[in-house]
Amino acid sequence: MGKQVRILFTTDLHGSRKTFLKFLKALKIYKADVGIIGGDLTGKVVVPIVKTPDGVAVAEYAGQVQVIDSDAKRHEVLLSIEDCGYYPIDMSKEEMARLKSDSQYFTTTFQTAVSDRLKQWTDMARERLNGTGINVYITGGNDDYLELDDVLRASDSMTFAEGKIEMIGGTHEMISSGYANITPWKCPRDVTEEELYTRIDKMAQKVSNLETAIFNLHCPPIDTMLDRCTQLDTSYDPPRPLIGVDASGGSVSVRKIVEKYQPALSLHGHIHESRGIDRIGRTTCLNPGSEYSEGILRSVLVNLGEKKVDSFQFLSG
Amino acid sequence: MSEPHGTFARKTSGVVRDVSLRDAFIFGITLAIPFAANFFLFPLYSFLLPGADWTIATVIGLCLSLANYALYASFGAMMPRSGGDYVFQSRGVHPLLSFLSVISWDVFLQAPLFVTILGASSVQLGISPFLTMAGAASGNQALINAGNWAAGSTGEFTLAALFLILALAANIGGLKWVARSQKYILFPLMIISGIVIAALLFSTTPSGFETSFNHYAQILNGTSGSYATLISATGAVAPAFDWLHTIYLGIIIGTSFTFWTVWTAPFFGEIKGANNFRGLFIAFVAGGAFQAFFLMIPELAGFQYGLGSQFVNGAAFQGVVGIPSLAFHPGFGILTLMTTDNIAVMFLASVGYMVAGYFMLQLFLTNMSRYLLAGSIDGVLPLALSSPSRRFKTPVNALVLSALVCAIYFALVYFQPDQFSFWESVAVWTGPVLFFGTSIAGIVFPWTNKSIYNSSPISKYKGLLTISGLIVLACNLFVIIGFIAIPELLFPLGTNATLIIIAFALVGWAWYFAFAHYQKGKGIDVGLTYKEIPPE
Repeated sequence: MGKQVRILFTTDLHGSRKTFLKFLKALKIYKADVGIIGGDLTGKVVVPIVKTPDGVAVAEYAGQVQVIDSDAKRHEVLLSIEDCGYYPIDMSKEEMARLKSDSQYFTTTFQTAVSDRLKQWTDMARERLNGTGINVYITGGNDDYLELDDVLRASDSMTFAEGKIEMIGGTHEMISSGYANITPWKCPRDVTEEELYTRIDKMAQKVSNLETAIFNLHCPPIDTMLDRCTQLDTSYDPPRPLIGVDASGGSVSVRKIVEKYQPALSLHGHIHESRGIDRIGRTTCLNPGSEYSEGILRSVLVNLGEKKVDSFQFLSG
Repeated sequence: MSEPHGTFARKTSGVVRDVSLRDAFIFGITLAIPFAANFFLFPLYSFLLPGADWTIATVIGLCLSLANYALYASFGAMMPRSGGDYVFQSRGVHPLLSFLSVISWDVFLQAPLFVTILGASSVQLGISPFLTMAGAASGNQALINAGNWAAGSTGEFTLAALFLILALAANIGGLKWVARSQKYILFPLMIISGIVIAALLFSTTPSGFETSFNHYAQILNGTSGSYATLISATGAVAPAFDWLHTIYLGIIIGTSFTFWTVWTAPFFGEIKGANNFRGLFIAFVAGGAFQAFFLMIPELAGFQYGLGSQFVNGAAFQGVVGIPSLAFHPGFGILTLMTTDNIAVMFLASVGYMVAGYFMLQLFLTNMSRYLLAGSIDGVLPLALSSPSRRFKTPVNALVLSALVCAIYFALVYFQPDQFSFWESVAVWTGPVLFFGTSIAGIVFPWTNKSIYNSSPISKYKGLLTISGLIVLACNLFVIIGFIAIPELLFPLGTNATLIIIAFALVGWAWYFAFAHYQKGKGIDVGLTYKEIPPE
């Protein structure tokens, strides 16, 4: 075996504080040289913490009502909410009513909460990675507001990799993109297949040695073991899963790109339930899946040799 | 998952609607294990446990199954994307336990044995009886010969192999075909056969059946008065009701049949994605209740009602011991068809059995291959097992290996018909091994995986996971220990079965440690696969 780089890749953390912290810890436990976070950093839900007339606060989430009557309880509830990837926000009843009725206010409130969480993460990464020599590369995913890029770009503890070529382990050029093909939810970084192809192709053309390259593309290639998901009936809002009907949620463009350029390794996420490995020509394609809402860190540890993947291991910690 | 009350979800959130209760119910009943119990219960367990009331035993089995449904619904709600016993046991206890119970015992012993027996059930309950009885009713000797051929070693092997090839093709083609065929072919045909069988059996009487049996036995066996000859071999006795035997049978029915509705975990991805204990539990209960109250109790109760306890007792004795000698095997299927001379009705009664065995074979093949796939992805089995078909995106190598293992058991079991009862009992005996491991995982999970458990919706049902695990473990231990300690169940296992179980365990352990050592040389530590990472 030639010089080997040990990469720990995870994706689709969706705001889960616990899963992010586990990732930082796992880098040391698994003795990784490099960490890569593949996008979809944004959580999905705001949990109002509303003060009641008798002085306690109430939060309702995951089918449970939490009465907060002490600092210790508040700390416990906040952590529990953040661990799920939700955003706890203190607000009055009037503000809660405004969240329901004013979509612009909701978006602003949400984006602020997301940005604050990401800033916390960059602080946590600085604190925990200091002195380890481990580099962490991070991008947004299709579910992430474009404004988050500024937060990530400003981080001094993790390298924002979207749209750039980063050198991994001194040998492997990595291109990264968190964009995806159009989904039923029309996410912030959902684009047409043509635009997705152009966006990634532009980066790939600049790679000097594709034989050793890594493609970190949030959306998996279509018709692989990495993009299996349930067919959705989008006539409902939210969409309704069609039981027993399988679908392919990946991108035609991503597949074409991987087929065309044949890097050593491609890393993907986006489809949480489709943990798997596939090969497109000489390229090893991996998706570790995601179980962020259960606080389980799904990741894949890749031992990348000079021109190919020497070995890999899916982990669930 | 849908938006919880009191929170606000983004529009662009990837949220999907909860699966409705109606969907969960329908999904559950299409995935019930169809008719398999009827094949096992008669003649073998009728012979071993005389006096057991099948109806009460089935209800006991279903009640015990509620614990298993709660166990699996809990795991499914806690880890909706983890998928199956292999992960539950790896995470809950240790990867070595899951390798042993799921890979070593289940994939390479229990599942292919069940596939073998279920393949036989399609033939013995459906195909052979229909051909034989259609021939007897129409005076067509060629059909009778075809029925006898189907029931013989070569016929069973040939037909089971054909089913296996079809099941392999369906699985390689993709799960959507498996799921659709289950919903649109198996389900309606099961309903039709279930109704027709119950109607036939409840519309006959023991005296009426005596006339029919003598008529058909004259045609098939060339003897007259066969009814009286058959029941006299056991002294024309109708065994008295026996509570202990009924309870034994209830536990066996639970662990071997109604428990197994939960084994449809791979098809529950969408319900699991809803992170919904209630939906999963309802789906499992629907499947188990459908199996018990529609596919088992009416048919079994009708069998005893219409044929009479004396005859059932005598036929069970003949079926296991072979006395008196008969040119046909008086199994559940053929005896049911003797209550009519209408060939079309015979077909409707048989078709459910014909397809049921095939569909169970198909489902077992799916699950065997998924366990192999999981083991391969986890690094304890060769990577080749997770390589997909280029065209269909299914784990073709794992499927082919699963089919090959089944084919080996076909040859082993079908060509030793005098050993059939032995293998049948080994199948029932090893049935609990999968649940054994998962029940242990359930018992200890709140302590071994505190953070996952405490943050899951299951934690609000204090003690549910541990208690349901304890009940399931107790049932499984009864079967495992009972088959070597309870006199009624000792036949026909003996030392050989114990040696087989131990041998598979030792080979499994040896493989695990050898392959783990090999993987270590490649920089992979399989012990890390499910290691809980502390966040702080």
